Amino acid sequence: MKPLLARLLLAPSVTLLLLWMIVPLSMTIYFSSIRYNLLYPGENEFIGLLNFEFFVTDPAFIPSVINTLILVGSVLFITVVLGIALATMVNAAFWGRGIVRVLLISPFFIMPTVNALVWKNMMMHPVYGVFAWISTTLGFEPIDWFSEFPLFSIILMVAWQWLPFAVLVFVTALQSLDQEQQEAARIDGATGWDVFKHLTIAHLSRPIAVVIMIETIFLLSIFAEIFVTTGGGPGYDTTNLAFLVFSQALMQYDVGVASAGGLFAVVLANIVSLFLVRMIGKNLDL
Amino acid sequence: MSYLKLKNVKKSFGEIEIIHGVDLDVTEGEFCVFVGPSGCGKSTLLRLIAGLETVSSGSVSLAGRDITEVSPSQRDLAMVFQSYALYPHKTVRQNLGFALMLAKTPKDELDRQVNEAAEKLQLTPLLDRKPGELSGGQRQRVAIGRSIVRKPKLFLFDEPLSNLDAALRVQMRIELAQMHQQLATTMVYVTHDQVEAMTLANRVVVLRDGIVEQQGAPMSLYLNPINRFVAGFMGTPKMNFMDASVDGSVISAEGASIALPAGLIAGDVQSTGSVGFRPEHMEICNPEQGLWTGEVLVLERMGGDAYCHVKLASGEVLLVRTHGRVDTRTGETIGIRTALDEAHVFDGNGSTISQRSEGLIHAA
Amino acid sequence: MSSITRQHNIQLWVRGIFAWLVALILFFPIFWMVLTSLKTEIQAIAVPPLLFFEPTLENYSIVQERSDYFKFAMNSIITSFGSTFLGLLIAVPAAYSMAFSPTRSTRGVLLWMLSTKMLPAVGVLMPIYILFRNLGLLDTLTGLTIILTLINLPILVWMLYSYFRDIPNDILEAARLDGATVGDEIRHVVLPLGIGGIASTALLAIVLSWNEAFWSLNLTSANSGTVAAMIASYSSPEGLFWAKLSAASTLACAPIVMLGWVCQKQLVQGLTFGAVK
Repeated sequence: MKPLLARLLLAPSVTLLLLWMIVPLSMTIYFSSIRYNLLYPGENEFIGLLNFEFFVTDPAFIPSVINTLILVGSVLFITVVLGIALATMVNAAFWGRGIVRVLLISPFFIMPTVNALVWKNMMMHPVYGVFAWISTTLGFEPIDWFSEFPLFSIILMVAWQWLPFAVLVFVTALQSLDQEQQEAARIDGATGWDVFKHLTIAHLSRPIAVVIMIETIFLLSIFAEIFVTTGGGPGYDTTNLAFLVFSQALMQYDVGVASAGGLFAVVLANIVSLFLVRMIGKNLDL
Repeated sequence: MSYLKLKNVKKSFGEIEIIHGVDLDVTEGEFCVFVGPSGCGKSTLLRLIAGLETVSSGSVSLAGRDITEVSPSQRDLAMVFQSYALYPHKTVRQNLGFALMLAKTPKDELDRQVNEAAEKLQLTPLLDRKPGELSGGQRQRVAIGRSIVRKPKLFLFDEPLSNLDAALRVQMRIELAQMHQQLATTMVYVTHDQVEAMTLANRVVVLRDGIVEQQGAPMSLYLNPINRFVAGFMGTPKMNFMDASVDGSVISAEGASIALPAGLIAGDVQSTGSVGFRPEHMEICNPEQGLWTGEVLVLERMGGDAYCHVKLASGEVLLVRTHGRVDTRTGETIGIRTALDEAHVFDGNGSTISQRSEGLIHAA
Repeated sequence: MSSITRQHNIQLWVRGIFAWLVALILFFPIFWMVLTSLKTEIQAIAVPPLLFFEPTLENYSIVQERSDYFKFAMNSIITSFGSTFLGLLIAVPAAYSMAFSPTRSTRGVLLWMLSTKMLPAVGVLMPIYILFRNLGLLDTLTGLTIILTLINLPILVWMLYSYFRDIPNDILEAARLDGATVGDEIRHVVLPLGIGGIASTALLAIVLSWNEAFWSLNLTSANSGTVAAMIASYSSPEGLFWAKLSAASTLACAPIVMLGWVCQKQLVQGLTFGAVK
């Protein structure tokens, strides 16, 4: 195929994505440098870095950054570790294996908003929830999860949603494990644990990288679950960066500050993605 | 007049030159085999002829027409790929008829040609199957059939037999030879197996590191290789080499002094180089009667023949062919004799300085 | 039966039981949700939670009446299918070009496309909101479809790229030697061999668009709200109505969950960009 034709075919997607990146981004940069509050239209003077200062000195800022990192880190950890454990367990030819797989992956396809509501109202509700019933049956006081452990509850919900993805990826990867290699290791005197540690985990390094990369993409901008359950609270306990920007913009109508916050989120995401892409890009067989 | 002509063809990938100026003249109807070790550039050369790669410089012409800049679909040649490259989603019939379909051949004509090709290759019962349901040998026939249907000016084969098991390979070799006789189309065939080269070719082109070492009839290369590389490459098993010094027509090698027949070496040469003898031109004998003596390392009995690996005092190992029922065992001291007129003498650079006639001998 | 075989069988048994337990636990919330949707409101808040009761479908009809599920569902269908179709139109040529004519910049372009997906939506929320407001695209199906197309484009390109790369190059070369032009190549080789991959890609895009919450919630309202928005409207605690909520949720999720069941293998391959086969 002639190089010219190849470039022409590529052009629409590259152009669109470029526009998608640049246009809103430059607008955001512009907005972040002016005073722009939807409640006071017309007073759009240039105020330089004032918006940033405002955003960064907002008492919610540092907590939200920390929450974002905790949220992403915890979910990654849970899904990868549990994911591998479950995948190895499930990867055997027992009866009903197909059905088990179907059951296991279902949470991934549930809408995030539904996910949130089901957990908040039916699982974790301190009076009518299933968890409450379990604790009272065991003789404990039921816990009001969203009041006492709000961030943890969100982590639990999101991990539940993404665990199937990790399990599915790892199960698929395990199926391409080289049997002969394992047999050779066994003959060489390796125990089951040795085989797991040296062969299986090594084989899984690529899928792990992929899972981390993909989950991070989606986890950095978790929004719906927080919106629907805690609204960022109590206080700022469950506000992540995405939600903070949202609350500035659409709840306080301060576009200027929200834009400054948005830029922060962009910078954070870029740092993370640069780091990830460098570390993991080579694993993607390009 | 040459039918396929390559003139000073060069090919570079980025900074690295792979093909360093190859000249080739293939006459019409000839079966030309490109042979050489891995990495010598034979497949690249084939792809240049096919147009799947573009030449960096030089020209390619087919039947008088310069095709250097012509796209592969317009070159009027057909290629059988090493992996067969059949269309997995189409039936055998559709695979065979694909090119004709693209050329908008009328249906009756298309069917007729497809059936004809299928007949020739015994594919008729398989016409409605898909490649996934066929065996390796059957797939290969379909690949060949796909090429035949197009009635091209030139057939190209890229190591077509390397994916087949040994027995099938022998059978297919014979079928290819018969096919060439029947169709009389010009064929260019790439292989790393010099047995295929010897048995199938009218002309063999030996390549190494992107240049042509020698080209000519198979027997020509067998009898008069122009250097050590070609001498060691053609002929199975491989020729034995010994360091030697040449003084006129007397060779000294491994402690033995050999008087060569007159005329084998042109002129009066004094140099150090090497001498080669093919295993089939040597024989084992009693130690007293041999030119060389040594210890039998391994004796391989093939049934009708046996191959004796003999280690000389200097450590050099010679391979000698003998008859299958020879009574020799490992560890035994044995003598080696050789037919002196079958010597290949090389100078210090590895070029051949011996020469022999290439006449064939009538069966008595 | 040798002792090794017996040991192996016991191990299999144990793993089987364990796997079933884990699967059931993980699936439980979904199961509970569907179960609750079949209860009356009183039964739904019973303490201890009811496992056995007389099921009723009244919640489903109420949800349809009250919030007009079908309207929201139609909007979801239009936006998810529409954005997928548009996305494919743009992504297929791009993936084709990169898979079959790779250049030195191909890898960079692919990674860059991925990085645009890491751009947090909040970062561009303001400009897009204002842009849409000025263009009159707020609360329209067109507006939402455009956004959904753009956010899924990188994934579409990646998936299609990895599927196209699976088509062996020498089959295309054989087609070329058989006289095929670029158009012939696409029509007779790439499309038939790639149709499975294209279908999986489309499926994944539909799933992602259907479940998308951020833009759906912020850019739409009564007119063009999708199912995601409908669910969000049930989140304000105006009385206890979990049975209806469950019914709404089941209605919202069922199509996609079933789609996911059917296509799990392809979805994994696609979502991990073919890195895991």
